[in-house]
Amino acid sequence: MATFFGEILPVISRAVDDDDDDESFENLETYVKIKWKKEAQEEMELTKDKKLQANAFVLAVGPAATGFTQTYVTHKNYEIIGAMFCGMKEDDVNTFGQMSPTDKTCYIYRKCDYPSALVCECNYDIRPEYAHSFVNQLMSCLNLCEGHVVIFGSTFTSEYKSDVPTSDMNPPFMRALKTASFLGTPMAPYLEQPNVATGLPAQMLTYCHIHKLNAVLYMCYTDSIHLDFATLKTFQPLIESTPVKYMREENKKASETLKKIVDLHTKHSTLYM
Amino acid sequence: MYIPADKKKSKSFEGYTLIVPAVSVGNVGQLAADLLISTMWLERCGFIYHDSILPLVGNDPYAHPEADVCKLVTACEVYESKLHQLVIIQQRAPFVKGKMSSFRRWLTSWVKENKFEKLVILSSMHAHERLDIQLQGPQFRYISTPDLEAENKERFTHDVLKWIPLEGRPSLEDPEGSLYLPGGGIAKSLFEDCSKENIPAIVVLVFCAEGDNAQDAVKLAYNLNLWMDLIDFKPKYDLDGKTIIKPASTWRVPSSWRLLFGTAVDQTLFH
Repeated sequence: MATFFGEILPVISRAVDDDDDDESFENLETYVKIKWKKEAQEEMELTKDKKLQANAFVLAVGPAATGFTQTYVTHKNYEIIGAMFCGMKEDDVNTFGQMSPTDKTCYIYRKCDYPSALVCECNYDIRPEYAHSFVNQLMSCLNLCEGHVVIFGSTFTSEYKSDVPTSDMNPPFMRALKTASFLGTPMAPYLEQPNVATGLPAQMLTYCHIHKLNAVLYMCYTDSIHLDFATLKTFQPLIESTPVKYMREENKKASETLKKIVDLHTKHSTLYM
Repeated sequence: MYIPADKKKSKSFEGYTLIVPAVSVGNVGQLAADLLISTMWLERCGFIYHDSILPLVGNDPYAHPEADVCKLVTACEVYESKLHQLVIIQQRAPFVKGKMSSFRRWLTSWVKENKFEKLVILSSMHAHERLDIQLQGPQFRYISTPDLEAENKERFTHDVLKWIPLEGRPSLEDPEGSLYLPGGGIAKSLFEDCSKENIPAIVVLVFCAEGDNAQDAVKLAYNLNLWMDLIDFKPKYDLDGKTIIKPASTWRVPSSWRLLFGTAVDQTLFH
């Protein structure tokens, strides 16, 4: 395609030609693996449908959402019962113990005194192509019929379209979407058209919607590239959301925990000290 | 797989027409499907949950812009019109690379299983790939399986429609000229699959380039409507021939078409 100034540019189009079919995402099913702790597996075997009973399930996707759940929910009284692995790359930075908030991990936690409350914290971006397999494998092990699901995610304000300029929206701000089965009112305004949510949070909400589960997705729109205090603070009112209010653990040192998480993420992002 | 929205109501699509948009240049097929669904106020009858389509959720794309409710929409949904014996699939997210053939296989078996009468594929083609004769004149083309062609030949060539079949391109494999649809997404291979499986199918397309493709979508939907007679835009008069019972109508643009070029520019940039 020639432009007005005479330079030749490649034509960019979302239309993918048919011959692009012999490509890289062949082994989607085997690329995502879920591993349960022995005790959890034994419990599943004992049930009729080989699934764990879950009345409350929280899925936190991304560093901001997982920072929030680590501070207010899973910091105390929770045990790891499983993990999901979705391919690690050569340049991924991970500590040996996999316990630092900056490690690329996806652990499944269960509340010690409320065993049907589960939290899945996935602190790195899973490619949308793997989301289907991720959600199917995870949900095939959980029985959520009467339960509540809440999904926390974050994305950039550059993805948000509105009549109002972004600076007037006072980022970071929260938006919500819910399934038809959820009869309550979410604690954030609904995401307006033409905005959409994609990736793993969208896949989970789609699954819940199709299977008529009660679920809400909270998406935080932030203008900060790296995790910052303001973004984490935007999640804070959601400790009163269903079902988080039944699963939270009071954290007297919440501000310190938040600050530590932010510091860990900003260590390699400051250009000037 | 196809999941009905209301499992209690058992549904048969036997004899229905299925309209499938292909993710093609300018997304014209999908935009045209939006216009049809929006203008005919179609009801969602089910979802397609398939690992070949990337995930997406949003609020109701056909709601009033001022509405403040949440009616979730997902990546691929199915709408029906009992009146017109019509089912339209709307796909809002792209395919996973490498999984298009898996989706096509599922779709053709679903079409056969539900005994659809015919398949209409909405698509578009890169405008820069046009032949010289295609540069001027109507930019709308069609290509259909022989059975549909025989059935509709008179209508297609009639003055009202004047549809032009897509010109074939000679290639190394086929010097006579074969189907050439660059930028058409899965339209070509889906059409070929249908021909093999004896499913009556027709591809309708416009030539276009990426940009604001709303007008291309209107052109596609308008031509399809001329053939299938789905929506009557003319005003309806009373018996006296003067009083208007139903005013002339036009395509209803969904609220999801808003802000095509993103958020308005922050005017403080220019102070």
